Amino acid sequence: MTDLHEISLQESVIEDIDPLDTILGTDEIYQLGNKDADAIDALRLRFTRQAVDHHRQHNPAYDRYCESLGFGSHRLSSAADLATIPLLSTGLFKRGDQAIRTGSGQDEVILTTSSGTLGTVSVVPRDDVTLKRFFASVAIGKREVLGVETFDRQVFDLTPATRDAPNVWVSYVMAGVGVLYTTRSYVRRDVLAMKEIVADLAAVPENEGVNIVGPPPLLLDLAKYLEARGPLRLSPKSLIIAIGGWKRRENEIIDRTVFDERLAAAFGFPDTAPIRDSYNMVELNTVLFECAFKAKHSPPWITVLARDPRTLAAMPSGQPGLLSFLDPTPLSYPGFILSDDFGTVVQRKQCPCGITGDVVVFERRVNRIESRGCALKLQTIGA
Amino acid sequence: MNDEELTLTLGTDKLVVTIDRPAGEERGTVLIVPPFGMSAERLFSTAYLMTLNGLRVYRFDPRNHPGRSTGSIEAFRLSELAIDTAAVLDLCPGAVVLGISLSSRAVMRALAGRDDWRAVVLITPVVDLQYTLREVMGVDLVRIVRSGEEFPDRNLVLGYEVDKVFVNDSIEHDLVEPADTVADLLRCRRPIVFIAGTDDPWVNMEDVRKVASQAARGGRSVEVIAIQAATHQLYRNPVLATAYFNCAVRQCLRATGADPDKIVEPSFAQIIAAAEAQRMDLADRANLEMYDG
Ligand SMILES: [Zn+2]
Repeated sequence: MTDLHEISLQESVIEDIDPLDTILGTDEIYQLGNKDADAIDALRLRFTRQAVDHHRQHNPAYDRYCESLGFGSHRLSSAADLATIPLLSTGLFKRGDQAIRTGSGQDEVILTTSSGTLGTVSVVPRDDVTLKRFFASVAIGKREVLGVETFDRQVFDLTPATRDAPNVWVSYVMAGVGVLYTTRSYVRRDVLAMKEIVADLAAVPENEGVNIVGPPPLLLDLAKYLEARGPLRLSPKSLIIAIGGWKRRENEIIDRTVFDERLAAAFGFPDTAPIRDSYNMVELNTVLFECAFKAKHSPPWITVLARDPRTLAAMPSGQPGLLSFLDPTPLSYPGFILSDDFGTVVQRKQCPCGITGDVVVFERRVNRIESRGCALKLQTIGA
Repeated sequence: MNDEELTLTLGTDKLVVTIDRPAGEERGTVLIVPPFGMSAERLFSTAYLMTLNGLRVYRFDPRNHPGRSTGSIEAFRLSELAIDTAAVLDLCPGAVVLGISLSSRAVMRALAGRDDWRAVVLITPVVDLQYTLREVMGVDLVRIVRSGEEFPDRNLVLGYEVDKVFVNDSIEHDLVEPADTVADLLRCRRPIVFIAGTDDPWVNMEDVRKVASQAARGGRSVEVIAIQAATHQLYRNPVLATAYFNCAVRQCLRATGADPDKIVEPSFAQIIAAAEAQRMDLADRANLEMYDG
């Protein structure tokens, strides 16, 4: 009798979760370095090595590039060895080099692009898993660095709508954020609906935090509008998150401290802690957010290294250089990127926010002449 | 999507229900009961996946919960979520019911003793509330309440300040112990499917197996599907969400007599496009003043 009844319990197992996705679904993953400083190194080594093997296997141009440099993943035995992984400069994404496409070409990808003028636009092919992992980095960072745990926080979006800027990464990111969180857009054809957003913000219940996300010049425009008409009184639980750069309005850049103070005053915050910057570029499949102490935390799965601009040798902790990223999350292109950004990486920093890990300080974008030296080294890939 | 909206009246409270119809042939109906803290609106991608597979969707904002129904989450109670679920099921008898995480426990209570549902699919199912609360909060509130020790009136649960009434209510309504879960399952007379992750720190896979096998020994039709290496954070990593929800859709299709292998699995890019279209449509309908800059 018991046996007959046992039959009605069926059990089966589905095995389709990659270990990296388990990591991207682990609570308090940014806290990994607090318990064991070496744990982050071990995690990076494991997943970056796996990513190198994946791209060499499915990307013949990248494989030849590695071959020509005598590089193999068997050489990756410690975290220091990660600096030897062959990098792709952002210029290769602008030229549509073969090395930027991993996969058969039959797999469905969306072509995400940087904003910019013709000829200077990076095109990054993202397949489904790559895209999902990017949004995992958003959701994890929102919870663990921005400190917003709830699902129902409203997002006020000041980036161009995707129908005005199809496939432009910053807009696409916010369209994806619209899947994750209640999001309303306030920009059409580059125009910010100022009265509308101010009215909607004023209607938010006193105790409710909101997120306002947009490029710094539009955030500043909103602050100026409020300065002229009287500040809002948003809950200090709210966050103002800068995404993207100044683009065509670089002549309007103001000092970060002044920027933060003006925004805090305009939105009615007692201090500047809610004003946060973020870092991402179309070639990077992970976003870096600032904590309340204005530190941009590198998530444990990526490796950020500052490099000597001439030799590309990794700089020691705290020394400035050209920033490079080793991101194991993309499957459809190698996430081993040499950026155009200059900055420093402070390794294993114990931040007062409670996270111990690498903190990245972005200083400036290098100009074309400066970057030519390193571009020389990389321009023959895929030829 | 968002084809119809109904407002139920429960006493003096209102309960807002959204109905999404599939574009093509309708194969059946799914009632989605949101996980703790998530409004019906945030279930867009789940509902979209269901409608693509020919399923009509009922989703709702529970009372005392984020969303448009009466009350706010400080006063959330699991027993009330069971009542709300039962009330929405009255609108869609014969539905497959989908519970997610904490709501799974309320779903089991709501379905116990009823026969007007087709099957139940429970994702990352909370079967031992005391265990889950302890793992999520780092303190054993159920033990503290039972011992009569002092504890704060408000407690932070997944980012929400929740009144201690939540714990008291769960104890009073026998929603805390695995044995209570088994008792409810024994009164669930239609097929029951648990979908759980082997790496879920908040829901112990072994506990799921235990309650499932006890229900099976009691003659219930129970299936446990383990997703290897999956955690509880399906809303943090869309790859995990896909694994859980595609598995759930297959079970819904099977329950409605359709072929689970004919599942339509949208890419994340498709989901983004659908959500964006919906968002733009709503913005246009609200006649947003775009050029007042
Ligand atoms: Zn910090």
